[in-house]
Amino acid sequence: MDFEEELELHTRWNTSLGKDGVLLRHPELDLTGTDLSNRNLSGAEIPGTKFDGARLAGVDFGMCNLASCSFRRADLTGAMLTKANLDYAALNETILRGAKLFRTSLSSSDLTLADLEEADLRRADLSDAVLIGTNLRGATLEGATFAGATLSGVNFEGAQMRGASGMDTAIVNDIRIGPTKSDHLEGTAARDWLLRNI
Amino acid sequence: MQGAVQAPSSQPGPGKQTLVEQIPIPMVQKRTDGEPDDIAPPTGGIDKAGFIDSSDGANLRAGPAEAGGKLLRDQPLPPATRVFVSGTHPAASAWWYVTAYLEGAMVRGYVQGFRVNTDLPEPMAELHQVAGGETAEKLAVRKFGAAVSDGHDLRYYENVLLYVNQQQQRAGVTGTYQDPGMLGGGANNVQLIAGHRIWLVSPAYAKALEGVVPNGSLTGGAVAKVKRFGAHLKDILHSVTESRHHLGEVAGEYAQAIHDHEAAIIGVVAGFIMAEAASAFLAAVPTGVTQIAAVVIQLGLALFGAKGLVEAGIEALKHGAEWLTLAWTANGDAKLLAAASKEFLKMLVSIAMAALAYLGIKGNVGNAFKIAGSLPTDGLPALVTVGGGRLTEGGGAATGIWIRPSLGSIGAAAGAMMQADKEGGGSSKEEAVADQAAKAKTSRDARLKDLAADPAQGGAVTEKTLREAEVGLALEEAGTLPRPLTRDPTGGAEFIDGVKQPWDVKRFNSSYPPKQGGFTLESSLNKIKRELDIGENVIIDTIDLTPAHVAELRAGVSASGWDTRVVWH
Repeated sequence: MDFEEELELHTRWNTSLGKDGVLLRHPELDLTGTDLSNRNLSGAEIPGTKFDGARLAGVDFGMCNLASCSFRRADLTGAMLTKANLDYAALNETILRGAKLFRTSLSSSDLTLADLEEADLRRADLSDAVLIGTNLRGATLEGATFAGATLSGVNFEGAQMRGASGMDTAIVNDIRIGPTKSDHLEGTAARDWLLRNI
Repeated sequence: MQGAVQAPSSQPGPGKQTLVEQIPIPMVQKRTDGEPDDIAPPTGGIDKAGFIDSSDGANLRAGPAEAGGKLLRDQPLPPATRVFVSGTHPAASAWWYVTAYLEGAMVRGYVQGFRVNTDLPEPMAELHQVAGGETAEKLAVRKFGAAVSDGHDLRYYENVLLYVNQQQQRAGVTGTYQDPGMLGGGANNVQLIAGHRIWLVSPAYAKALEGVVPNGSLTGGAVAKVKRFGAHLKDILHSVTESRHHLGEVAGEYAQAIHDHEAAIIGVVAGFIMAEAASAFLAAVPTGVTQIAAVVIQLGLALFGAKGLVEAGIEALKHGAEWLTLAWTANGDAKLLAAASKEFLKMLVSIAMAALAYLGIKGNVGNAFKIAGSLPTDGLPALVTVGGGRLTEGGGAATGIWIRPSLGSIGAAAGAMMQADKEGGGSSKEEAVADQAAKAKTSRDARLKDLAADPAQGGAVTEKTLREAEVGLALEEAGTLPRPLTRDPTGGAEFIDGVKQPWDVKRFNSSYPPKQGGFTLESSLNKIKRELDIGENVIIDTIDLTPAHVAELRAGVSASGWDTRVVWH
């Protein structure tokens, strides 16, 4: 059965609330470069799947198991990832502008050079995640946890961080909090700024 | 009774066989020790055919083993036993309610869910335990013999075995594809491994794979053929499992009586359809619908506790035939399937009426309770006849499930009968009770929907949020969570209970490796701790966890001192 068939059955599963169709449960698919924009995959269990370079704008991945998935250079603009499991996911250079990551688990994920501008990351779990050159400009990070995360060159300009936690155990190298040169903070200054703004 | 469905007598008479005599009726088994088994009605929602897929089988119990659920059979259901899964235990969702057709008898009860595989490659597939000395060739002959015309075909069907089981990642078939075009001789390239279980697909499905096996992938055309093949059966099962949604509308005053037996009825009927009778069923419908309906009616009478009853009214037969005809011809049409479901329910109402009339409780609720209370503990008749045999009372010595007509259901059903007789002077009190029961069910469904609408996802209701709702509501009904439970409007937690305590639902999974979302004690405890740290309590839904992982997690939660803030379902 090809992926479209599986997706059709999964759509029926979703629309019938599990009475018809089949839950998409298929680890390690290779969906590199596919276009699934605005499709509904909510609830699917597809850990380890490769979505590298895929077009996924507006896709509904709510409550999905996407652990260890690879989204390198994929476009997830405005995607719904609420309550999804993205632990160990590779999100390098992934476009997640305006994406909904409310209560999403991103533990041990790699967000190097990911673009999360204006994304909703409330209550997201970023523990042990790697954020190098990650753009969090204007993102909502209320209640998110950064315990053990690595923060290097992260852009926090305009980010809402009230109630975020775990900064005390995060590895903070440097961050950007505005457009000017003086808005680039390093080491202790960066950590202090973060602790003041949570 | 003229025009009634006549079950076979104990002394087969000369001449034409009755309708029921032509189709085997499964026996409803009883326990040998005479003790009743109280089986809690399951929480519905699975409604799938499956197979026991565990090398040591699955013990059939009246409830979860950890809660002291009694064994219902001395031996486990063997590996590869076909079952129908109706739902989960209301207090332990890792335990699944199954109905199995085993050794000519229907058995039902709870088994551990992880021992059941519902992921069938096609609706008519069966799981097969490979025995020592069994070969792919012999198996192909046995399974596909009627479809095999020469040596060329046989090798094709061996390739089908290999293809299907490779697709399903079963280890019981190994080797390489044989050349279907090669006549005579040939190496035994496809081999079976004893002790493993493999999928055997139906000949029709195998035919649909032509052009795919051995090297190709499923084409659109092949997929379409397969879908058409399973559609009729799927529609009939759908009309049974979906009937619960029409209870209030169709059954009216009878709704409570049927609701009380709902799980057993759906399990037994669906199990019967999926089991040994499936091929006869498909061959008979639509021309032989009355024969099938007659068997289902006999099963229904047993489930309603009608000891010794051998007749059901022509009304039951009429509705049964209409149910099957509508479902068979529905072709997936939702309206026709709904109509079929309603006819199925009307048939059940007729069966309930016949059963109650037989028990002599028609028109007198007081007597109904008295009679229900005095029913012998070895209660139910076993409907014995396989292969045109006979109907007798008493179940023989086989072990299995003993079905006891509960006091509540008999009483409620009697209430229903009172309503049926209201023209002759029915009681408004009983009408009110029945009305109240119907309204309660409607009200519960509405609450479930409310609790399932997840503000975190824009108010969406999905299968997973519905599961969360079922878990929450079950815990509220059990008195574990203070009522009333409501969805957290912020989406920050799942629920807020009656004393304003927020609750988060966590569902860990044993099926995947740790880095693919699978259970580890450390990560699970971290996730629980995170919720507790911000003032939320945690409900752990164990449906996807193995018992070993549940035990490990329980110990971890206790060791962390969280027992008062974590509840289990």
